[in-house]
Amino acid sequence: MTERKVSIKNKTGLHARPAAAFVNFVKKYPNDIRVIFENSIINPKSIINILAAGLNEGAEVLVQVDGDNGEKICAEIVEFIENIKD
Amino acid sequence: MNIVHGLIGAPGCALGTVVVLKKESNEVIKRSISDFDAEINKLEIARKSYNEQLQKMLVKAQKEVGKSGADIFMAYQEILSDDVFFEKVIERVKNEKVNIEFAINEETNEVVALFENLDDEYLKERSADISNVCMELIDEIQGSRKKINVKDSLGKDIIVVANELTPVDTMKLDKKFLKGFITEKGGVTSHTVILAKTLGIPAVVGLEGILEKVDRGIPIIIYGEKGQVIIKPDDLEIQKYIGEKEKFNNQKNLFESCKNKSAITIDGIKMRVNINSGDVDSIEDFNSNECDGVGLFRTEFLYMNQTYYPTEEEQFEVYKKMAIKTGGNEVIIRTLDIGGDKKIDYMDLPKEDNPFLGYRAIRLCLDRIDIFKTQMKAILRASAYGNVKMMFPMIVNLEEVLKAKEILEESKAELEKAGIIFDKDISVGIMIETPAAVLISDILAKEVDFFSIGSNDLIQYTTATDRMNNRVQGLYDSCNISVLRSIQMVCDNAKKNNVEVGICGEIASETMLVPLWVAMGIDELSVVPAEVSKVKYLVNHLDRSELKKKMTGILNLGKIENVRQTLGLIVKPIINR
Repeated sequence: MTERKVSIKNKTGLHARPAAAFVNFVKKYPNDIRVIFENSIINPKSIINILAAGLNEGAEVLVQVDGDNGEKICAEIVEFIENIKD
Repeated sequence: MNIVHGLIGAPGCALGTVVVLKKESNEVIKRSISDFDAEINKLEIARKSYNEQLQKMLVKAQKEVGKSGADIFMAYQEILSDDVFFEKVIERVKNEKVNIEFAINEETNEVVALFENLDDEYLKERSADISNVCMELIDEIQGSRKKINVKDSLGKDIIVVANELTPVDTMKLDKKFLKGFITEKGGVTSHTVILAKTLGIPAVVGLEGILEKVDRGIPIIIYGEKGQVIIKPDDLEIQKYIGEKEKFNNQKNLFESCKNKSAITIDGIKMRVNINSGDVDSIEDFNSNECDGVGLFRTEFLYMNQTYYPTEEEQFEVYKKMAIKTGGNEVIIRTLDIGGDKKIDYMDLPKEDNPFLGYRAIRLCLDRIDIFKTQMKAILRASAYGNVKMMFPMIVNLEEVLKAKEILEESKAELEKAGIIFDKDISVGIMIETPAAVLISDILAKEVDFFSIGSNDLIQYTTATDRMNNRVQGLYDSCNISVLRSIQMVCDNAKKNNVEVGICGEIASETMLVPLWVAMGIDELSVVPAEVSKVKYLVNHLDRSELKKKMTGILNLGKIENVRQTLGLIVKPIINR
């Protein structure tokens, strides 16, 4: 399992369009992926999960990836989050 | 007749016949089932069918209301394709041996409950989206369709009244006769309001109890801007409405006729009517035929939503694009005007008790010279592609101007050394938005090429009022005589020193005040694009020498209401033709 921390820098957090873009991005990977935020485990392949998590600007999350290519995938996901713009 | 008030939704006024939108969905009943596959099959068929309907609505919405109206359908599609959520629904069917509609309902309720914990208004509305999608999916499975009986409107203008309207509901309505919305629920950012604005029809929301007060077929008047609804209006109200409507339409046509003309007073004096810009959308929508230039190009957007300072190259590309789009007309680029009120991590802004009186704008730039130079160089480079001018915000003394000009000379020298072309004589001006700047405007006029009066801040600082504070908002008055006298003073000092004066705050386009700007000899007004036609129209119908005579002593009137009255007498006959 690979894990990396990242914080949400987008001004409007991970909502609406950025959320949908993020979910579609993560859905591409067949691995089991989790986003941990303040003790909750969020499934990033579910738009409903992501919206209900209320990830605002400044939220610090932990991205965990199981299985093959874990490190590469984790890095790509972290990069995606860091580059999110409204 | 009954007059009721709700929340202001979308502007405009309408008179029509009521059509009540009632939803008739079947109740969700729990049943035990044994054929799991059949239930799961029902789900998949419904999801596919509903998705196709959403796709049709999306295309229809794009044609009828454009991108923003269509986005909501895409959001619905995304929720519908949340396989993780529907996996849980299927699990529930298997574990509890219940019918699919019930399982969907239960899962939805659980999710919606999670949203109650969030205190973000925007997110709460998203839970309504999730709820709606599931409700419509259940309807699809149960085969119940919402009855929307709007067809027989008898060719009359109709006003839809409902408890609430989902985006799907609104798309099903025939737009031809639709003249307004009234809903019991909904806030000012709800879909109903967004759709109404896009359609250009009035909407009043949050009107609790309206459904009890109306019946299908009765006449109703809706005044969107007042949040007012008149049920079964009497003849007097109807007459009033007809008058209002006519006035509104006439004005609109009057103003539109001046859209592409120049603003020249009756006695032949030309005023530049520019627009304010400074975000991606207004850059895209910019039409150089409809204005005389960009009087205020805000640059803060380049520094926000970033994780690092925008580079010279990145800034240059944006400024250059704007310079080219504006053709030979002026583009006045304001240097960074930002402070601690905005959250920008990479800038490391101090946490201040009073960010509006603190480390911001020119103060920040004079302290972070590298950043200032980067921006200046980008602006200078863009000046080779059009009529680019530079402007410094929030000036309060001569020293700031001198220091800024010094840094500008250094930036110019660095570019020259690197052989990069730019306008060596680039026009440099300052914002006059503090009382301090007003009172030494005679001295400052000797150091710059132009002034731009930033009225929003000038009014706040001069009247010592926070515009956002409900309790004292009334003091933030554009006709406050001290503010008007300040502008007069700035104008006089500018003229004595051959310096041009423009106004770029909201008062630039305030109908009642335009005659005053004409009389004072303001050279340039920079307004939001939607106000350009109106301002041009006004200027074209005013005579400066006449106005100067009519307005002598207006600033000695003492009471603000007297100033308003005098201005009103001048303006009303012109806009009520």
